[in-house]
Amino acid sequence: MLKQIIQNEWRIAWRERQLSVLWLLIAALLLFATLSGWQNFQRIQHERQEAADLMRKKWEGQGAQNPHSSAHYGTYVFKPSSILYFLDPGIDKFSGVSLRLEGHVQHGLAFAPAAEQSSLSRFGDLNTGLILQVLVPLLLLFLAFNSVQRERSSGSMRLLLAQGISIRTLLWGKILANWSVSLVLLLLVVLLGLGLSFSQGQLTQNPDVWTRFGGLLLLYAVYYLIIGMLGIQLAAAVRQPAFGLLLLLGVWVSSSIVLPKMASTWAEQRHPLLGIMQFNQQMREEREKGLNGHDPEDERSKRFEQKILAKYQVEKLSALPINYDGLLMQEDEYYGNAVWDKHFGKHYQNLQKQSQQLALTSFVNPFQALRNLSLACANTDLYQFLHFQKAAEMYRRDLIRGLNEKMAYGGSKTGDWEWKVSQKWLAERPDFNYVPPAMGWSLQQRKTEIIALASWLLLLCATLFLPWWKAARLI
Amino acid sequence: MVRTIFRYEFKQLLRNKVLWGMAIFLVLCSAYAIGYGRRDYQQFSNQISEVQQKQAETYQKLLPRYDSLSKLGEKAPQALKGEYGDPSMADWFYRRYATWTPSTLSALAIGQRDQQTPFQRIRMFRNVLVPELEEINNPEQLLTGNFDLGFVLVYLLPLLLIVLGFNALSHDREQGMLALVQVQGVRPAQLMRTRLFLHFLILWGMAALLITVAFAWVNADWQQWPLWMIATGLWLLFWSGILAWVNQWRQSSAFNATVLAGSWILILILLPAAVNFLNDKVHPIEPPAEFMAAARDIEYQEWERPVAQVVADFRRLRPDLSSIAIRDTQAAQIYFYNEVIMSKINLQGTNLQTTRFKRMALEKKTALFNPAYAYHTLLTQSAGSEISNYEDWFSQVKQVSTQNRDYLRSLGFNKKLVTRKELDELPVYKASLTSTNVLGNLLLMLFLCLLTWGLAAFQTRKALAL
Amino acid sequence: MILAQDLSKNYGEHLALQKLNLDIAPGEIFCLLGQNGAGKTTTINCFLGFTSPSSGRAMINGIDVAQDPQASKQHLAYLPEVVMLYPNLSGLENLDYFSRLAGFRYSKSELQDLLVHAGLPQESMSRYVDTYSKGMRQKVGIAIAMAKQAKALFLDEPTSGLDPKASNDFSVLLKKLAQDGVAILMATHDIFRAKDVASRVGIMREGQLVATHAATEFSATELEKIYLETV
Repeated sequence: MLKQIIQNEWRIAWRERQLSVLWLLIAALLLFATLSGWQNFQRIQHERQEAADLMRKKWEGQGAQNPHSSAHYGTYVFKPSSILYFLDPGIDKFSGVSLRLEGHVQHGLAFAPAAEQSSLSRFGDLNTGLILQVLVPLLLLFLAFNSVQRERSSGSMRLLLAQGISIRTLLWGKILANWSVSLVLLLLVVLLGLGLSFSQGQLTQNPDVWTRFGGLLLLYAVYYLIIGMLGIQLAAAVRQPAFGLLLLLGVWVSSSIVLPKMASTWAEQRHPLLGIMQFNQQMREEREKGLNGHDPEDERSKRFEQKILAKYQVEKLSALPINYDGLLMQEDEYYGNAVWDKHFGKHYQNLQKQSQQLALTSFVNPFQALRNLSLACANTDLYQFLHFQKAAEMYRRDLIRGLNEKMAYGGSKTGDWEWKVSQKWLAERPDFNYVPPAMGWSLQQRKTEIIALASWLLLLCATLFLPWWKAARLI
Repeated sequence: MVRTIFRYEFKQLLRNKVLWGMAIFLVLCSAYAIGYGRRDYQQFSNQISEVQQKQAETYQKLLPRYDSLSKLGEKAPQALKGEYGDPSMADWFYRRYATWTPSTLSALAIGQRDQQTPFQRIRMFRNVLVPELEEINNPEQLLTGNFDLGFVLVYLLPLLLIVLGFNALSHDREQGMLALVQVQGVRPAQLMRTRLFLHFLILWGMAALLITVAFAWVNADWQQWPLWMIATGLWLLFWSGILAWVNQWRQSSAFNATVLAGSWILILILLPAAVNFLNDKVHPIEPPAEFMAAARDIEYQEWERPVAQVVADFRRLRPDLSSIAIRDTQAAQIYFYNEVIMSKINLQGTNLQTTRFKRMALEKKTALFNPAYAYHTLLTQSAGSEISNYEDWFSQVKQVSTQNRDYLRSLGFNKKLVTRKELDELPVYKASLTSTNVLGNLLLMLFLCLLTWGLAAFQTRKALAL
Repeated sequence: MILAQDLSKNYGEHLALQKLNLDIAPGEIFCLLGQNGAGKTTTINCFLGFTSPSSGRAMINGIDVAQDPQASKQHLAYLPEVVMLYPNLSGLENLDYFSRLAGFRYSKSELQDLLVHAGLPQESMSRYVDTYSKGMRQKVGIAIAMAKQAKALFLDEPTSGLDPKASNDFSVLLKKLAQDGVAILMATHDIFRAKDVASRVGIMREGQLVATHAATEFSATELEKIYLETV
């Protein structure tokens, strides 16, 4: 019985000119967006790799240097883009992609492409994610409206129910039929994506990509089922056709356009971030006055001097067998790191709170869960960005510590700023090798969204079994 | 007759729950948007005034030292003279900032304000091609976008117009009133036009109310009010034209709703996205790694070069300054290096700006097919929060930076001590934001209105045969 | 007043109307009988200007409908099978609205009189139309038609939803209108009603007017017999 209903729905949807045209249009857009997204990804990957290579070459070719000059010369690292960037590019445009690493100071990520553009960039980009998140659900809602309203107005609903079909079988049939229509689009994208990834051998290198593809597939399939159930039930519950259509369109606009913006601005103002000026100011003050506010820099260095003199049992710095400047700089570096950890930690927490707040709105608006989880699966979200920033900072610390220790123990004496290490030694410093987080880690940050999505699924299944659904509601 | 239709349509609309639901929705959204914009602007301007306050504080803190330098002159103790009396050190101690302060109107159209660092330090050793600091943001929030009044006007207003008018003709036909109306001597097109005009007036009126309240609430510049009203009117008129056109296809309400929802998506999502897409394809923005590497190398290598070479370079680069007498060669070195480094970096960075200009040129070119962009930039430009406004400001920052360098150099070359007088003469940024010319965008919108109404008129003539 | 000369309408191969000739004088009620699809509604649509004839002319008060649809509408009124009105307006407001659209302004009491005349109970006049039954809407429709003071009246199955009492009232009303000099063209299935009100009866088949009889010639049963033989 269910099979017949589904087949019939397919046939009718296909014959409905508007719907088949819309489906074809979306399919064409998806193919186009995915293919060009892939091209884009390759370009970006290539350019960032080239940039990173250039900076590494510069580092290795800087010649014999005083380690501290070298620490100031520093290097730049570039945020590599995740493979699934081509399906959901996420925040890449807004987050900044290059980071300068040098001694004494932690920079922020620079060169966010969107900051260089006019506000047209805020209208969004044409990418697979946009189509999958915004257009396909719209198609689902149109399908739902069509499959319920058409039968109601033509009176064939009466006939069907008179034939003895249970109302739930009928609704399920329609839901599954519509869902399968959207699944075809989804499979199209995923298969194309897999094919593209295979062609580049990216997939075989990293099994995590498999999981991420699978995750995306599951996520969108579940979301489409939710929208399919919501659409059919709403369309069936509302009798007036014009009002039903308005309601469905209203749900679509609110959930995918209005509410996300509202929720995100709300979260932003609930947990405001510091401006860069305040952030740097606070860090500077704590470095100068001490983390507790009562330990000024010069007292700290005096104490450190005494400690080192006692350790080597000498009276004067010049009598030290090592270069005291290197030790002091590293000591200062440690202190600066602790200050950064504290303030970046606060910043991280603020961002986390904003994210959590936003995640909670998924219980009102499943779209929010979809968007966040899609970013997480594609590894293009806020957490991945922060993960990168932390990884780069850890690399910076290692690099600078190596340089400072070389300065201290490499054979120079205190006050000797002309002493140089060989180019070879500098070139042997390890390169930055960023390992992006795995799928499990990404999802751990998004537990709320997963629970919200599951709740929506259960809720809509449950409403379908309410005794409220009687034949009289449908005819 | 038109008056009769008007009166009775209005009466019916007032009794229509959809209209009231919409009005409440619009008012709530706008109230939230304005409230959000206001708070956002508050945070923004707090940051700015903090920066300005810091500059004033620094100045106050420095005053006693420079006052005593004025009093003692060359007889001042070496510590004071060497540290504070030196021009380049004074430049370092007296932290001066140029601040970007879009008007309060930018609370209603945030534009690109949230993505830019709204202040830049004015100092000699500074690569002025790129901002020194990056503003801290939540990139996911930036991706989602702001909920300001601009968003409500650009996105939601046309949507409400569609909700009101998608069945401006099909409703009567489907419900069976149309035949009777026609027999009374009313042409369908006339009925539809009157209705759409009424919807237009209602929404424009609502928008006027919202804009007025918003202007008063955020204390915006009332001179921009007519511009916002006209632009919003044109935006609504453009959409009325589309509605008139689609309604005359004489299809069912459901068909109209689908097509109109489709055009809304096309105009507000797909077209802008397509232009961004095209721009990314033709003029991709990536971090200018080569420039960054080159600039760093210049800074490092220049200090290693012999002074004579640098002086020669300097004279070549600044022929206007070649005749200047240099009394203090040693102190002047620093300025030579500085000038040479900046010029070389500037030379490297010429490509940097061009990508941005090319992108903007492309955006302008495609604006003809992109009415949402035309309207939105009109709002952001009038609020001074568009990237072009930022560019304007940034070029002013560059000018002040150059003034600063020149002034410090003139002190340094002449071995002048920085005293209170010189301190007060150090160049500071004075806000002088110019308004952008929005006439082009207005004309564009007018043209687009004519286009859609032209289409509608054409359709009427075709339908008249029926 | 209502004049059709060789009025024809074809949709491709299908001939909906073939060389229909008709002349209805003021004060005359002409009833068109015929099965579904015989061309009754097409005939009325031609007069209303909703359908443009393939050949021939439809004239109202000497005005060719196809030539000047707006001018011809000044002289005609129409009562459809199912009268649909604006649901958010009351019966009174609907009447006022439609009258004003046609260029007539009536005072409130005049409008009420018209509705009472059409048989609408006083107490339901100011209720919204979406609470009305089909018959009540039909009565507002009649009032709208009368308010237009037209010289030609077109009725398309006007009594199909009315109960016998209302239907009878309606017949009385029609006769009175005819006495006032209105030419009436009515399409109907109801032979008895036709016999009751009509001055002449025309029977249509496959787009042709196959027979015309004066209503007084036969009794209702005879008319039914003729009808069954003709179609």
